[in-house]
Amino acid sequence: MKRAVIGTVAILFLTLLFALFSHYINPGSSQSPGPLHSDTADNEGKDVPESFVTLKVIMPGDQSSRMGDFVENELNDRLKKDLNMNLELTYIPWSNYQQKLELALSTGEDYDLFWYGAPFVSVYYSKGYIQPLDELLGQYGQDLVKHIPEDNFKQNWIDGKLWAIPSQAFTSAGKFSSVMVRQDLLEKVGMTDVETIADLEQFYQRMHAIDPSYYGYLETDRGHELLWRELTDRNYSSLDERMLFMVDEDSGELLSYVESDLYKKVAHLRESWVNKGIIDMNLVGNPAAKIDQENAGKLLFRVGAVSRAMENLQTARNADPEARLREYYLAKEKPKYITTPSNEAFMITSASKNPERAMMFMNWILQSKENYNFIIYGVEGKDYVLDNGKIKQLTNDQLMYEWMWRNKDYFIAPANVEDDVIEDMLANDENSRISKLSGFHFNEAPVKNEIAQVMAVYKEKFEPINFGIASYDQYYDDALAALKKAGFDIVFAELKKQFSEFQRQH
Amino acid sequence: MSRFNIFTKLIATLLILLIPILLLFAVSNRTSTDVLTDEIIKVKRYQIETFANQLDQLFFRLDTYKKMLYESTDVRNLAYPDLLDDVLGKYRVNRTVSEEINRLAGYGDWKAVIAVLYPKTGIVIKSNSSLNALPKEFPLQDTFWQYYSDSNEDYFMEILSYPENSAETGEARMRVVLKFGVSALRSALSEFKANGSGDPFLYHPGADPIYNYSVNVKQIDEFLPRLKEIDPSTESGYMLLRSDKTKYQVHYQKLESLGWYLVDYVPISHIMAPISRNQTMFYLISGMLLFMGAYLAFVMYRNIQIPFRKMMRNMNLIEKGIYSVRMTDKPKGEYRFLYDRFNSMASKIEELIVDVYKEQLRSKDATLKQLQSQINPHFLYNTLAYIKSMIELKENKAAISMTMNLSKYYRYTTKTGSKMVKLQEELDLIHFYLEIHCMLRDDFEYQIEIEPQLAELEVPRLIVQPLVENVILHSFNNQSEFGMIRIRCWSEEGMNHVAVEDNGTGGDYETIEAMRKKIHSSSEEIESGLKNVHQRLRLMYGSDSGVHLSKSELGGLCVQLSWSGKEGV
Repeated sequence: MKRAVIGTVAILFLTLLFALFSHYINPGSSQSPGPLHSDTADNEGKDVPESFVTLKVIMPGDQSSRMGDFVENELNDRLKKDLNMNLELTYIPWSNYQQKLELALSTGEDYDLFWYGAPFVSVYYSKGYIQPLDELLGQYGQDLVKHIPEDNFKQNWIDGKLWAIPSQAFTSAGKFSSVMVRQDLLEKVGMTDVETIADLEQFYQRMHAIDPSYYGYLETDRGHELLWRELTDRNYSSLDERMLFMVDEDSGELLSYVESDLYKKVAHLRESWVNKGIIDMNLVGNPAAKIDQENAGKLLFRVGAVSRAMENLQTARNADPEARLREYYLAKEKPKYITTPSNEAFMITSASKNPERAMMFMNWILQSKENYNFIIYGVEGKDYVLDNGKIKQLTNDQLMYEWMWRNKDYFIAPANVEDDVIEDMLANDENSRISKLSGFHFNEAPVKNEIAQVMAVYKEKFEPINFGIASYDQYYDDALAALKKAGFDIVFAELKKQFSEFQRQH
Repeated sequence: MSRFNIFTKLIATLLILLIPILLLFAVSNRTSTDVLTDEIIKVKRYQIETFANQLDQLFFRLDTYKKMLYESTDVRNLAYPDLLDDVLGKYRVNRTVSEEINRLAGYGDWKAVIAVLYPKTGIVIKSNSSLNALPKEFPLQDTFWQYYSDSNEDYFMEILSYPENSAETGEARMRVVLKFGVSALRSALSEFKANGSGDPFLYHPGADPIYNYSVNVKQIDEFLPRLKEIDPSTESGYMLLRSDKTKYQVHYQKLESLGWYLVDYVPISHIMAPISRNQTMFYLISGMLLFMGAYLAFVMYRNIQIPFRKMMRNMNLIEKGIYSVRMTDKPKGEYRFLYDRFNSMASKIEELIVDVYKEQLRSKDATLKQLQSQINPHFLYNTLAYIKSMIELKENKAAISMTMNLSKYYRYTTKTGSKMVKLQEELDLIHFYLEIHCMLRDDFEYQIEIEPQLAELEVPRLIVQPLVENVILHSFNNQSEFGMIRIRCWSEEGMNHVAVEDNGTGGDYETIEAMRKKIHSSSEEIESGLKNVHQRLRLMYGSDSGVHLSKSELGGLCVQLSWSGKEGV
């Protein structure tokens, strides 16, 4: 009996000890389910980082409501499991993306990763906004290397170091030198395709005759190169989207575009478009309203971007279920030039606290088709279904932009896009050449004051001429004089110096 | 003495100790819970007020933007496009307004859509170019942060028209519109949730609540019917709700700008869980203490109280004279020793008491025998006959001597009362006795030696006489030579000795052994004077006292009495 009592007391005592200290012996088991422990079963063999971090990424545009849900729930659950991290996206609307992005970068806010166009890599490199990625790529980016061609990386090499991940690995020749038209409307007015500028004008006039609410031409980005194909016999490529300089692909000479005869031709053509109503002078200064026209299904044509016909189809169909889009090159026998194999660049800020995780996150996207489909299309069955190998999205809300990470290894054609559009896109790089500009970066640091002044003058004096609302004959001389006064020649000289240096090296 | 005395006392003591502690604990626990609850309420109130203020500020700031745009010359100029003469000027104003709107919309973390509508020209300048950024139709009258349901996304919108109050008549030339989508609010709520605890949402009677992105909808659905009870005039407050087994504090704060309530709840039971766990633990420990105390008391009761009580009972029995009781079922430890001591004490007492009784009996027995021998008619006849013949022979002296001896002998033997006499007196008696026999028989002589210091020694009465009598009766019966009796008294090494020797026939070994057997026999049936003496000596003076038989130097038997000279045994 005595033994039994001692036993009982001992058991009670042990129970008490356990109850008192179980909390400390096995921390977190009752309170917060440890992500590392609970998920290790699914995760064997993977290197899940120990510390939990929140990766802050800047994205352009507006966050769709599904994206908000998706990031908060499904995506972050998955990232927590795979990389022990969360994603926090900050969306900056398109209309002031550059301004806000640069504000965030210059003030050193603690963002880790952001997207922008490839031309900005050298700009942000010279401003010290971004950090080199070679080591990180070697350590954490095996799948990026595997799925993105080496040429694409080369364009982001500056001073022997890699500064951005060229996230898109797809056809890219002649980007921004094609024109995207509403194919359904083109056919409606009895035309089949577009070969010349005259075709475009005829398309507008015929359509306008049927329904004057249609809006001709939208230009929110560079719309000059598509006209160059017809307006000149030479092969020119623009240095960047600022439309100040161009290179002659045959001679390899760097030219001042604004002072060229070609510029005069473009300006006169634009002026005639304003007079014809193809460009609506009331909307020129109001970019949001212009995009509205496209959203409303009222846009007839705009600059193409290799895959824009596919990308913008959904928007057009929202307004008009019959809408079809197609991209054409004017003077299509002329070669296309690859200036930037990937125009999309992901950069890690120099202020980033978690550069490794940012690289891991990018690598994760291209790690497997499963990850790729998940972040871009969402949950299969909920956000999309696969139909004959084509993707059919069940929601209009965009998740991660497909164009940002478009990859030849993972590309799935949307179910609603016609096969010819897809074929156009996949065959785009045929008859293409590598541009003389490929891999060249203009280091603006030596002339940054001049550039700032030049750009201010350009915006004030040249943009109205570009749009065709200010007469070239009337305003050009004054505008050019102001541009020269702002230091245009110094910038041009510096650029030429750097370019000849670049040509010598390659 | 109640049966569970110590046991109950111990339990009572334990309870008396524990109950105040338990009471104190309960009170302090209650106090700390109250303080904590108050603190939680304060913190939550502060959080929710701060957040509500942030949201209000956001909406009021957006309202300020609306007024800024409304007052802006460029914005108004566009309402009258005819006044702007050239295309370039119009382009510049357009661009300025667009940039201004974008700049305003770019401030802050949560984005509103800012737009200026010009109903007359159909121009819309807005900060967001995405589809559904603005509703297709606008309400006719001006509004201030009105809630609208939309298939795409619910939103709050405010509109200000220029000229004032011109909207309803369709005269408005310019309308400033600010639209704030619910998803931006949801982001704001999610951010608030990420910074604090809680699960905030916006509530307005009659509209779907606006949740944060990681909301527990099931939980909130349970609260919604109760939230309807909020008096629309109250600005803020909190209520206690219970769902399942969890108690919740549900706080609400009205947003001045929207008229909606910001609601957040705290699972108070979860927060208090560690405290209530400690409480349970404390009660558990108290229970265990009580149990252990009870067990200790029981052990004490069993190991101390019960043996002690047994001992008390046996003590009482001893007191009542039942000396045969002994402790049985000896426990281990100290009590075993105590029991042993008790048992040996009891047996000693019993032994002593028995000795005393036996001595009394023997003493009486001796006296009786002696009396018997006194009135032995043969002895008396012989003496009287001796006296008569002496008188007839005119031996007056002998007759007188015999008479004197006889009288002294009888005076001594008939003197009853004191059990103890001086050794000298005993020897005097012997002297008279032997004198009488000497006269009667005239065949022996005797000799008495005593060390002077022994004369006054107290000895039991009639302790030596039986020895002498034994010699007279047995030693000289079959003897032809002259008899000899020697009596010696001496003390040696703390022992007193009285030896009676003779030169009679009893000196051979067989006789001595037979007599020794007789003396040391414990059987009560065998009666003998020597045995009586032996036992009386042992009873009175201990086991080393007694009668020793040996062969005398005189040739006969030597009977020696020995006893300890120390007082008492």
